[in-house]
Amino acid sequence: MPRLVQALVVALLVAGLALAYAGSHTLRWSPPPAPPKWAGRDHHPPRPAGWEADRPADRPDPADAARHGYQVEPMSSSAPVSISIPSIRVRAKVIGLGLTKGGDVQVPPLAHPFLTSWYDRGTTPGAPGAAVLFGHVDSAAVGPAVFYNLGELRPGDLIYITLKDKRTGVFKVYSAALYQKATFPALAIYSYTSWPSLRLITCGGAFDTSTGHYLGNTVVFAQYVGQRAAAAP
Amino acid sequence: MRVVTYAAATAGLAAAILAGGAPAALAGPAGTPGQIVNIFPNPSAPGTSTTFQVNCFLQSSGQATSATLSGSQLGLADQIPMQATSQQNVFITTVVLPTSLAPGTYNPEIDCSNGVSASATLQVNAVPSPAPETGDGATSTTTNGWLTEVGLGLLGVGAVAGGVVLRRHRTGSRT
Repeated sequence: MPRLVQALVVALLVAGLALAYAGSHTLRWSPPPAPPKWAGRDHHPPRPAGWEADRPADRPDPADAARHGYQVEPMSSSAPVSISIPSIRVRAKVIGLGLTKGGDVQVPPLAHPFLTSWYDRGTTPGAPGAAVLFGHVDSAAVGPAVFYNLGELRPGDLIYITLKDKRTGVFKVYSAALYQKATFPALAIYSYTSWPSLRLITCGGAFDTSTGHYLGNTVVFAQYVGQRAAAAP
Repeated sequence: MRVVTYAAATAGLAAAILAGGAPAALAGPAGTPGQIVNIFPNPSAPGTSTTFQVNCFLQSSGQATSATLSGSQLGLADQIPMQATSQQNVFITTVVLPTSLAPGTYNPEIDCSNGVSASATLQVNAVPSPAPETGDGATSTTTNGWLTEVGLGLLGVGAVAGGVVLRRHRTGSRT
Protein backbone atom coordinates (compact mmCIF):
# COMPACT_ATOMS: atom_id res chain seq x y z
CA MET A 1 0.00 0.00 0.00
CA PRO A 2 2.68 2.58 0.91
CA ARG A 3 4.36 1.70 -2.36
CA LEU A 4 1.22 2.73 -4.24
CA VAL A 5 1.10 6.00 -2.31
CA GLN A 6 4.75 6.57 -3.07
CA ALA A 7 4.14 5.96 -6.74
CA LEU A 8 1.23 8.39 -6.63
CA VAL A 9 3.36 11.07 -5.01
CA VAL A 10 6.10 10.61 -7.61
CA ALA A 11 3.49 10.73 -10.38
CA LEU A 12 2.10 13.96 -8.95
CA LEU A 13 5.53 15.55 -8.77
CA VAL A 14 6.47 14.48 -12.29
CA ALA A 15 3.15 15.60 -13.77
CA GLY A 16 3.43 18.90 -11.92
CA LEU A 17 6.92 19.53 -13.25
CA ALA A 18 5.91 18.60 -16.78
CA LEU A 19 2.86 20.87 -16.73
CA ALA A 20 4.77 23.77 -15.21
CA TYR A 21 7.43 23.43 -17.89
CA ALA A 22 4.92 23.07 -20.72
CA GLY A 23 2.92 26.01 -19.42
CA SER A 24 5.84 28.37 -19.50
CA HIS A 25 7.35 27.09 -22.73
CA THR A 26 4.40 26.74 -25.08
CA LEU A 27 2.23 29.42 -26.66
CA ARG A 28 -1.39 29.72 -25.77
CA TRP A 29 -2.30 30.55 -29.36
CA SER A 30 -0.46 29.84 -32.58
CA PRO A 31 1.26 32.90 -34.05
CA PRO A 32 -0.83 34.51 -36.81
CA PRO A 33 -0.86 32.70 -40.15
CA ALA A 34 1.25 34.25 -42.90
CA PRO A 35 0.53 34.29 -46.62
CA PRO A 36 2.76 31.95 -48.63
CA LYS A 37 6.07 33.22 -49.86
CA TRP A 38 5.40 33.57 -53.53
CA ALA A 39 7.78 31.71 -55.77
CA GLY A 40 10.85 33.64 -56.79
CA ARG A 41 10.22 36.80 -54.85
CA ASP A 42 10.73 36.72 -51.16
CA HIS A 43 7.85 38.53 -49.49
CA HIS A 44 6.68 40.02 -52.74
CA PRO A 45 3.61 38.95 -54.63
CA PRO A 46 3.86 38.23 -58.33
CA ARG A 47 3.14 41.60 -59.91
CA PRO A 48 -0.57 41.64 -59.29
CA ALA A 49 -2.92 43.40 -61.63
CA GLY A 50 -3.19 46.98 -60.47
CA TRP A 51 0.21 46.73 -58.80
CA GLU A 52 1.43 49.75 -60.64
CA ALA A 53 -0.47 52.85 -59.78
CA ASP A 54 -1.52 53.57 -63.32
CA ARG A 55 -2.35 50.06 -64.36
CA PRO A 56 -5.96 49.17 -63.74
CA ALA A 57 -6.67 45.84 -62.16
CA ASP A 58 -8.52 43.35 -64.29
CA ARG A 59 -12.03 44.47 -64.71
CA PRO A 60 -14.71 42.01 -63.73
CA ASP A 61 -16.53 40.03 -66.34
CA PRO A 62 -19.90 41.80 -66.72
CA ALA A 63 -21.60 38.47 -67.44
CA ASP A 64 -20.22 37.08 -64.19
CA ALA A 65 -21.39 40.15 -62.32
CA ALA A 66 -24.83 39.88 -63.89
CA ARG A 67 -25.06 36.25 -62.85
CA HIS A 68 -24.41 37.21 -59.25
CA GLY A 69 -26.67 40.24 -59.39
CA TYR A 70 -23.92 42.82 -59.11
CA GLN A 71 -23.67 46.16 -60.80
CA VAL A 72 -20.12 46.72 -61.99
CA GLU A 73 -20.04 50.54 -61.99
CA PRO A 74 -17.65 51.97 -59.41
CA MET A 75 -19.40 53.09 -56.24
CA SER A 76 -19.96 56.71 -55.34
CA SER A 77 -17.97 58.01 -52.40
CA SER A 78 -19.44 56.95 -49.09
CA ALA A 79 -17.61 56.02 -45.91
CA PRO A 80 -17.43 52.30 -45.08
CA VAL A 81 -19.30 51.15 -41.99
CA SER A 82 -18.78 47.39 -41.90
CA ILE A 83 -16.69 44.62 -43.41
CA SER A 84 -17.49 40.96 -43.87
CA ILE A 85 -15.07 38.24 -45.00
CA PRO A 86 -16.99 34.95 -44.87
CA SER A 87 -13.99 32.73 -45.73
CA ILE A 88 -12.20 33.68 -42.49
CA ARG A 89 -15.38 34.41 -40.51
CA VAL A 90 -14.71 38.13 -40.09
CA ARG A 91 -17.57 40.52 -39.49
CA ALA A 92 -16.58 43.87 -38.07
CA LYS A 93 -17.40 47.54 -37.81
CA VAL A 94 -15.28 50.06 -39.69
CA ILE A 95 -14.37 53.50 -38.38
CA GLY A 96 -12.63 56.27 -40.32
CA LEU A 97 -9.19 57.31 -39.05
CA GLY A 98 -6.54 59.62 -40.48
CA LEU A 99 -2.96 60.31 -39.50
CA THR A 100 -1.40 60.88 -36.10
CA LYS A 101 0.52 64.12 -35.46
CA GLY A 102 3.69 62.22 -36.27
CA GLY A 103 2.37 61.31 -39.72
CA ASP A 104 1.73 57.65 -38.94
CA VAL A 105 -1.49 56.12 -40.02
CA GLN A 106 -3.90 55.76 -37.11
CA VAL A 107 -5.22 52.34 -36.19
CA PRO A 108 -8.09 51.43 -33.83
CA PRO A 109 -7.20 51.44 -30.11
CA LEU A 110 -5.97 48.07 -28.84
CA ALA A 111 -8.82 48.20 -26.34
CA HIS A 112 -11.12 47.54 -29.32
CA PRO A 113 -9.43 44.56 -30.95
CA PHE A 114 -12.44 43.68 -33.12
CA LEU A 115 -12.77 47.10 -34.73
CA THR A 116 -11.25 47.89 -38.12
CA SER A 117 -10.30 51.30 -39.47
CA TRP A 118 -10.41 52.88 -42.89
CA TYR A 119 -7.71 55.37 -43.90
CA ASP A 120 -10.00 58.36 -44.41
CA ARG A 121 -7.44 60.45 -46.34
CA GLY A 122 -7.69 57.94 -49.15
CA THR A 123 -10.49 56.80 -51.41
CA THR A 124 -13.65 55.18 -50.15
CA PRO A 125 -14.05 51.47 -50.98
CA GLY A 126 -15.48 50.92 -54.45
CA ALA A 127 -14.46 54.34 -55.78
CA PRO A 128 -11.51 54.59 -58.20
CA GLY A 129 -8.30 54.42 -56.18
CA ALA A 130 -7.03 52.23 -53.39
CA ALA A 131 -9.08 52.05 -50.19
CA VAL A 132 -6.99 50.92 -47.20
CA LEU A 133 -8.34 49.19 -44.09
CA PHE A 134 -6.47 48.23 -40.92
CA GLY A 135 -7.23 45.77 -38.16
CA HIS A 136 -5.33 44.33 -35.24
CA VAL A 137 -3.89 40.84 -35.43
CA ASP A 138 -3.94 40.22 -31.68
CA SER A 139 -4.39 41.86 -28.31
CA ALA A 140 -3.51 40.80 -24.80
CA ALA A 141 -7.13 41.05 -23.69
CA VAL A 142 -8.57 38.61 -26.22
CA GLY A 143 -5.70 36.87 -27.98
CA PRO A 144 -6.51 36.62 -31.69
CA ALA A 145 -8.07 39.88 -32.90
CA VAL A 146 -10.17 40.83 -35.93
CA PHE A 147 -7.53 40.36 -38.67
CA TYR A 148 -5.75 37.41 -37.02
CA ASN A 149 -6.60 35.14 -39.97
CA LEU A 150 -5.92 37.68 -42.72
CA GLY A 151 -2.90 35.64 -43.83
CA GLU A 152 -5.27 32.78 -44.69
CA LEU A 153 -6.90 34.73 -47.52
CA ARG A 154 -6.05 33.53 -51.00
CA PRO A 155 -6.74 34.90 -54.49
CA GLY A 156 -10.40 34.52 -55.31
CA ASP A 157 -11.71 34.97 -51.75
CA LEU A 158 -14.44 37.60 -51.49
CA ILE A 159 -14.59 40.62 -49.19
CA TYR A 160 -17.81 42.59 -48.65
CA ILE A 161 -17.78 46.19 -47.50
CA THR A 162 -20.98 47.99 -46.66
CA LEU A 163 -20.95 51.76 -47.03
CA LYS A 164 -22.88 54.43 -45.20
CA ASP A 165 -25.22 54.76 -48.18
CA LYS A 166 -26.31 51.15 -47.50
CA ARG A 167 -24.72 49.72 -50.63
CA THR A 168 -22.32 46.80 -50.40
CA GLY A 169 -19.17 46.58 -52.50
CA VAL A 170 -17.80 43.16 -53.41
CA PHE A 171 -14.03 42.74 -53.70
CA LYS A 172 -12.01 39.77 -54.85
CA VAL A 173 -8.57 39.01 -53.40
CA TYR A 174 -5.86 38.94 -56.07
CA SER A 175 -2.74 38.82 -53.93
CA ALA A 176 -1.55 38.56 -50.34
CA ALA A 177 1.92 38.96 -48.93
CA LEU A 178 3.96 39.43 -45.79
CA TYR A 179 6.29 42.44 -45.95
CA GLN A 180 9.03 43.35 -43.53
CA LYS A 181 8.20 46.72 -41.98
CA ALA A 182 11.53 48.10 -43.19
CA THR A 183 10.49 47.50 -46.79
CA PHE A 184 6.76 48.18 -46.42
CA PRO A 185 5.61 49.09 -49.96
CA ALA A 186 3.65 52.18 -48.92
CA LEU A 187 3.47 53.58 -52.43
CA ALA A 188 2.16 50.40 -54.00
CA ILE A 189 -0.42 50.18 -51.25
CA TYR A 190 -1.70 53.75 -51.14
CA SER A 191 -1.20 54.80 -54.75
CA TYR A 192 -4.10 55.52 -56.99
CA THR A 193 -5.48 52.66 -59.08
CA SER A 194 -7.85 53.55 -61.89
CA TRP A 195 -10.03 50.53 -61.16
CA PRO A 196 -11.28 50.50 -57.53
CA SER A 197 -9.09 48.39 -55.29
CA LEU A 198 -8.86 47.49 -51.64
CA ARG A 199 -5.99 46.73 -49.27
CA LEU A 200 -6.41 45.04 -45.89
CA ILE A 201 -3.47 45.40 -43.54
CA THR A 202 -2.50 43.87 -40.23
CA CYS A 203 0.69 42.91 -38.41
CA GLY A 204 2.55 39.68 -38.97
CA GLY A 205 5.84 37.89 -39.17
CA ALA A 206 8.19 37.53 -36.24
CA PHE A 207 7.46 39.39 -33.01
CA ASP A 208 10.23 41.47 -31.48
CA THR A 209 9.78 41.26 -27.72
CA SER A 210 12.39 43.97 -27.16
CA THR A 211 10.36 46.59 -29.05
CA GLY A 212 6.96 45.03 -28.50
CA HIS A 213 6.21 45.15 -32.22
CA TYR A 214 5.77 42.71 -35.02
CA LEU A 215 8.52 42.90 -37.63
CA GLY A 216 6.22 42.64 -40.61
CA ASN A 217 2.82 43.41 -42.07
CA THR A 218 0.41 41.10 -43.80
CA VAL A 219 -1.20 42.87 -46.74
CA VAL A 220 -4.13 41.54 -48.75
CA PHE A 221 -4.76 43.11 -52.18
CA ALA A 222 -8.26 42.94 -53.61
CA GLN A 223 -10.02 44.44 -56.57
CA TYR A 224 -13.54 45.69 -56.95
CA VAL A 225 -15.97 43.22 -58.48
CA GLY A 226 -19.28 45.00 -58.20
CA GLN A 227 -21.90 46.44 -55.89
CA ARG A 228 -25.35 45.59 -54.73
CA ALA A 229 -27.99 47.17 -52.59
CA ALA A 230 -28.29 44.29 -50.17
CA ALA A 231 -26.28 44.03 -46.96
CA ALA A 232 -23.22 41.81 -46.76
CA PRO A 233 -23.84 38.06 -46.33
CA MET B 1 0.56 89.11 -76.58
CA ARG B 2 0.75 86.35 -74.12
CA VAL B 3 -2.53 85.33 -72.66
CA VAL B 4 -2.35 83.98 -69.16
CA THR B 5 -5.28 82.24 -67.63
CA TYR B 6 -5.58 80.22 -64.50
CA ALA B 7 -8.04 77.45 -64.26
CA ALA B 8 -8.22 75.61 -61.02
CA ALA B 9 -9.50 72.09 -61.22
CA THR B 10 -12.54 72.56 -59.09
CA ALA B 11 -13.80 69.96 -56.71
CA GLY B 12 -16.81 69.40 -58.89
CA LEU B 13 -14.68 68.79 -61.94
CA ALA B 14 -12.45 66.44 -60.01
CA ALA B 15 -15.50 64.59 -58.76
CA ALA B 16 -16.84 64.29 -62.28
CA ILE B 17 -13.54 62.83 -63.41
CA LEU B 18 -13.41 60.43 -60.51
CA ALA B 19 -16.93 59.30 -61.21
CA GLY B 20 -15.91 58.61 -64.79
CA GLY B 21 -13.17 56.44 -63.46
CA ALA B 22 -10.99 56.50 -66.56
CA PRO B 23 -8.72 58.99 -68.27
CA ALA B 24 -11.15 58.97 -71.17
CA ALA B 25 -13.41 61.07 -68.97
CA LEU B 26 -10.77 63.75 -69.14
CA ALA B 27 -11.58 64.70 -72.67
CA GLY B 28 -13.52 67.92 -72.34
CA PRO B 29 -15.81 69.26 -75.01
CA ALA B 30 -13.65 70.45 -77.88
CA GLY B 31 -13.64 74.12 -78.66
CA THR B 32 -15.10 75.33 -75.42
CA PRO B 33 -13.50 78.58 -74.45
CA GLY B 34 -11.75 78.69 -71.12
CA GLN B 35 -8.39 77.03 -70.92
CA ILE B 36 -9.01 74.03 -68.79
CA VAL B 37 -6.32 71.92 -67.21
CA ASN B 38 -7.49 68.62 -65.85
CA ILE B 39 -5.33 66.58 -63.55
CA PHE B 40 -6.06 62.98 -62.88
CA PRO B 41 -5.98 61.82 -60.16
CA ASN B 42 -6.22 64.94 -58.08
CA PRO B 43 -5.32 64.78 -55.23
CA SER B 44 -2.39 62.68 -56.25
CA ALA B 45 0.53 61.33 -54.22
CA PRO B 46 4.31 61.03 -54.56
CA GLY B 47 5.24 58.10 -56.78
CA THR B 48 1.85 58.17 -58.45
CA SER B 49 1.44 58.36 -62.16
CA THR B 50 -0.51 61.53 -62.84
CA THR B 51 -2.13 62.68 -66.06
CA PHE B 52 -2.34 66.33 -67.14
CA GLN B 53 -4.70 67.37 -69.87
CA VAL B 54 -5.05 70.84 -71.27
CA ASN B 55 -7.44 72.48 -73.66
CA CYS B 56 -5.47 75.29 -75.32
CA PHE B 57 -8.38 76.73 -77.25
CA LEU B 58 -8.93 80.44 -77.09
CA GLN B 59 -10.99 82.25 -79.72
CA SER B 60 -8.48 85.04 -80.21
CA SER B 61 -5.41 82.83 -80.21
CA GLY B 62 -6.12 80.36 -82.96
CA GLN B 63 -5.19 76.71 -82.99
CA ALA B 64 -2.41 75.27 -80.89
CA THR B 65 -0.12 72.67 -82.43
CA SER B 66 1.79 71.66 -79.34
CA ALA B 67 1.93 72.20 -75.59
CA THR B 68 4.51 71.69 -72.87
CA LEU B 69 4.15 71.07 -69.17
CA SER B 70 6.61 72.80 -66.89
CA GLY B 71 7.63 70.10 -64.45
CA SER B 72 10.37 71.89 -62.53
CA GLN B 73 8.06 72.69 -59.64
CA LEU B 74 7.23 68.99 -59.36
CA GLY B 75 10.87 67.93 -59.48
CA LEU B 76 10.53 66.80 -63.10
CA ALA B 77 12.00 68.03 -66.39
CA ASP B 78 11.43 71.70 -67.08
CA GLN B 79 9.81 71.23 -70.48
CA ILE B 80 7.73 68.09 -70.79
CA PRO B 81 6.20 67.82 -74.27
CA MET B 82 2.52 66.91 -74.25
CA GLN B 83 0.92 64.62 -76.80
CA ALA B 84 -1.75 65.75 -79.19
CA THR B 85 -5.10 63.99 -78.89
CA SER B 86 -7.86 63.30 -81.35
CA GLN B 87 -9.41 66.58 -80.24
CA GLN B 88 -8.02 69.79 -81.61
CA ASN B 89 -6.22 71.94 -79.05
CA VAL B 90 -6.34 69.19 -76.45
CA PHE B 91 -3.00 67.84 -75.24
CA ILE B 92 -2.23 65.22 -72.68
CA THR B 93 0.77 63.84 -70.81
CA THR B 94 1.28 61.41 -67.97
CA VAL B 95 4.13 61.81 -65.52
CA VAL B 96 5.18 59.91 -62.41
CA LEU B 97 5.50 62.29 -59.47
CA PRO B 98 8.88 61.83 -57.73
CA THR B 99 8.68 59.81 -54.53
CA SER B 100 10.61 62.62 -52.82
CA LEU B 101 7.94 65.20 -53.69
CA ALA B 102 6.75 66.98 -50.55
CA PRO B 103 3.01 66.97 -49.87
CA GLY B 104 1.31 70.24 -50.65
CA THR B 105 -0.36 72.27 -53.36
CA TYR B 106 1.40 72.78 -56.68
CA ASN B 107 0.58 74.98 -59.64
CA PRO B 108 2.43 73.51 -62.59
CA GLU B 109 2.16 75.63 -65.71
CA ILE B 110 1.32 74.52 -69.21
CA ASP B 111 2.30 76.56 -72.26
CA CYS B 112 0.55 76.10 -75.58
CA SER B 113 2.09 76.94 -78.95
CA ASN B 114 -0.66 79.49 -79.62
CA GLY B 115 0.51 81.61 -76.68
CA VAL B 116 -2.08 80.39 -74.22
CA SER B 117 -0.71 79.42 -70.88
CA ALA B 118 -2.59 77.84 -68.04
CA SER B 119 -1.98 76.41 -64.64
CA ALA B 120 -3.97 74.14 -62.44
CA THR B 121 -3.95 73.27 -58.81
CA LEU B 122 -2.53 69.87 -58.04
CA GLN B 123 -2.92 68.64 -54.52
CA VAL B 124 -0.23 66.16 -53.47
CA ASN B 125 -1.16 64.14 -50.42
CA ALA B 126 1.34 62.42 -48.18
CA VAL B 127 1.65 58.67 -48.28
CA PRO B 128 1.91 57.45 -44.68
CA SER B 129 5.48 56.18 -44.58
CA PRO B 130 5.88 53.93 -41.55
CA ALA B 131 4.23 50.57 -41.49
CA PRO B 132 1.26 50.44 -39.12
CA GLU B 133 1.46 48.79 -35.69
CA THR B 134 -1.48 46.46 -35.49
CA GLY B 135 -1.11 44.04 -32.61
CA ASP B 136 0.62 43.63 -29.27
CA GLY B 137 2.00 40.17 -29.90
CA ALA B 138 -0.46 38.37 -27.63
CA THR B 139 -0.70 35.34 -29.90
CA SER B 140 3.05 35.26 -30.46
CA THR B 141 4.15 35.65 -26.86
CA THR B 142 1.39 34.63 -24.44
CA THR B 143 2.27 31.29 -22.88
CA ASN B 144 -0.10 28.73 -21.40
CA GLY B 145 0.17 30.31 -17.97
CA TRP B 146 -2.73 28.26 -16.60
CA LEU B 147 -0.83 25.03 -17.32
CA THR B 148 2.02 26.31 -15.17
CA GLU B 149 -0.41 27.13 -12.39
CA VAL B 150 -1.95 23.66 -12.52
CA GLY B 151 1.54 22.13 -12.64
CA LEU B 152 2.72 24.09 -9.64
CA GLY B 153 -0.48 23.08 -7.83
CA LEU B 154 0.23 19.40 -8.56
CA LEU B 155 3.81 19.85 -7.37
CA GLY B 156 2.50 21.36 -4.13
CA VAL B 157 -0.02 18.56 -3.59
CA GLY B 158 2.70 16.00 -4.37
CA ALA B 159 5.12 17.58 -1.93
CA VAL B 160 2.55 17.68 0.89
CA ALA B 161 1.48 14.09 0.20
CA GLY B 162 5.14 13.02 0.07
CA GLY B 163 5.81 14.72 3.40
CA VAL B 164 2.83 13.03 5.01
CA VAL B 165 3.88 9.63 3.65
CA LEU B 166 7.47 10.06 4.85
CA ARG B 167 6.31 11.12 8.31
CA ARG B 168 3.95 8.15 8.62
CA HIS B 169 6.70 5.87 7.40
CA ARG B 170 9.07 7.19 10.10
CA THR B 171 6.44 6.98 12.82
CA GLY B 172 5.58 3.46 11.64
CA SER B 173 9.19 2.26 11.77
CA ARG B 174 9.65 3.48 15.39
CA THR B 175 6.82 1.39 16.79
